[in-house]
Amino acid sequence: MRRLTQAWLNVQRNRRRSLMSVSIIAIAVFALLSAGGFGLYTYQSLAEASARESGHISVTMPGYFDSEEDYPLQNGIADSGALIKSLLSHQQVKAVQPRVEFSGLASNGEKSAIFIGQGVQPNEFRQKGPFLDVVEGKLLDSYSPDEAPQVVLGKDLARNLKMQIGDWLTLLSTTSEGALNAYDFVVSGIVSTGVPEMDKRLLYIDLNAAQALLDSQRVSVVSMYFYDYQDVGPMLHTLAAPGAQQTPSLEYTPWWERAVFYDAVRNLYNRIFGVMGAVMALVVFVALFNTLSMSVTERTREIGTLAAMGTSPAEQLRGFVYEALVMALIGCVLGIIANGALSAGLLVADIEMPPPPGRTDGYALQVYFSPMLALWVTISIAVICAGASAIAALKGVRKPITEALIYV
Amino acid sequence: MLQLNSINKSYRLGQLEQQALFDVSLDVAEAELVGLCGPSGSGKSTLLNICGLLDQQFDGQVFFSGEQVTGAQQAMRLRRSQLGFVFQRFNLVPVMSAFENVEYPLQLNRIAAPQRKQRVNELLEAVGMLEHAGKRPDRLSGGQQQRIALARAMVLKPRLVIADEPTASLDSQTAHQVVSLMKQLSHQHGTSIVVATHDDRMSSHCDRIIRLEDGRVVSDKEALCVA
Ligand SMILES: Nc1ncnc2c1ncn2[C@@H]1O[C@H](COP(=O)(O)OP(=O)(O)OP(=O)(O)O)[C@@H](O)[C@H]1O
Ligand SMILES: [Mg+2]
Repeated sequence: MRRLTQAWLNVQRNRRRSLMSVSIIAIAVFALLSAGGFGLYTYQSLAEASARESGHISVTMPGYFDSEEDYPLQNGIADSGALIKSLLSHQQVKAVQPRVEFSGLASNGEKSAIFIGQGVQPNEFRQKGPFLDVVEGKLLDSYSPDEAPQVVLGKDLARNLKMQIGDWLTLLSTTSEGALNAYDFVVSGIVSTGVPEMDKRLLYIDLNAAQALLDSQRVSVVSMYFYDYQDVGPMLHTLAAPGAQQTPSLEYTPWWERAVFYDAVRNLYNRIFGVMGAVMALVVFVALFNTLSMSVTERTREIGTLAAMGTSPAEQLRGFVYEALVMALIGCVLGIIANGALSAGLLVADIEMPPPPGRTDGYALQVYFSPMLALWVTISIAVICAGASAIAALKGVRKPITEALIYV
Repeated sequence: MLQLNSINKSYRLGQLEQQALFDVSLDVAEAELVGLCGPSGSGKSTLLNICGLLDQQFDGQVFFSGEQVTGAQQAMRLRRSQLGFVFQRFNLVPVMSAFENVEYPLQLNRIAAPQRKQRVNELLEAVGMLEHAGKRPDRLSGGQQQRIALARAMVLKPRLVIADEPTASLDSQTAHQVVSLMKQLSHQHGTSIVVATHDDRMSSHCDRIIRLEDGRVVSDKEALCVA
């Protein structure tokens, strides 16, 4: 306690200089936490988006994502009903959605375009929340064989085929037997995913309609959605355990293995933050080294006096390290407070970021406040400051006592 | 108590080697107050540094209480537990109160807190500074600071106190008080003191005067030293 008090008093001996060091530490901490917080926010947003697109776990036949099918639904899951029931029995699982992925040609009678189709259960849209921007009309209604089947189009596909709500569109595809099949659909909605490449090709129809079009009872993928994404890893383990294996055996792919964009962004950001962290560490090191060097030089005679009385060099070093730690602590606390304020302020301020590459929509700028990150940054800064001060002080405490005592 | 055998000491200034002490031998007895005098540059401080075990770079031998001092670690241990220092410019630690400054050597020797408190108060009382115990050095006059420094040097009841020009920064009346105090404490505790001084009033209190000139002992007697 007394050591800390004295360190605190020593810090105050040259207030302007100490204030400078503390400011540099605070700014570095603030910058690191803000960049890191922005990264964490981005990771989480991307993770959520990726998971929403494909589900937290995609259940398929083995090799579904790696190999090309010879005909539609060749590699599909035959008895999806039983599978869905068994997956839903896990209480961590919020929802399970079967899906048919297919492609073909969409035609308005005069003009055709290639599409990538998703056959989904209409309740999937409600369950997943607002992941699609409905430009016009509405999403799919519940399917009934008596009514005309509905289709939801990506906005660029709709524009390409000059489709309005209520217009008729013919979808052509190959059945699993290899025959050509066509159905007429009425356009119920036009949507945007935010990714232009997708909006040019994407369409949604009801799962049953898709199975009818492809003349198959199979589904391509069964997507599992969890209440808490922390449960994904353990569940993956449970499902893949030898005893739990279904017949025929299935493949369980977590969202992160399918989220190429997420990985790319994360790698890029981590590299940027790594460089930034190194630069900040260097700045803090130099600042503290400089401050402590000056203090050590100014206090040469004091160091000599204490050494004359039999104080060990290690003990003297400790004094300077404590001093640096006091400054580090104050700087970190200030930086963390500033980061907290920024994080809270951005929640209120609602600043829009420009769209990421390959997207049409911007997103709200937010910075997460992460106590874990704050702790790590504080520990790192403390280590750097302690190191800088020890090195700076070493020169002073190594000086011969007789020279230190006559230093003016 | 302290014994120096044919000490030769030289300083290296670049290429030049300048000898500061020539074959100095010295014996300091128990509770003796030894004055070192001589003109500026005669080697007083150099000799004191060796007596105070602050400097190990010399030729010759030093015995402290019969133990030959050879290494820096041994010297540090002896300084910590057996020696006290008084400096011309007081050298109190500015971030410590008067009390804490006096307490510091006790802490270094890991004396328990209750004993420390009692001992510090005794010393502050003895130097008449009890009422200023809580003050930091910058709020004390030179004479008051030197009295605190004296208390600090004496608090361990050391065997030897080294004082380099302890009165040079003080006015004559204060200097006189400090010197009397030193002498009194030395006699009380049986502490030997070696003090370097230009000051006749200081010398007049000494049991013994050693006079240095150009790094050589030119006289060693129990008489007045005329600088
Ligand atoms: N650190 C040093 N480096 C080089 N030479 C030194 C050093 N310290 C002292 N000297 C030299 O050694 C000699 C003795 O110096 P010392 O300081 O011991 O004298 P002193 O009697 O204490 O003088 P003063 O009364 O001025 O304090 C002088 O010639 C001085 O120049
Ligand atoms: Mg001198």
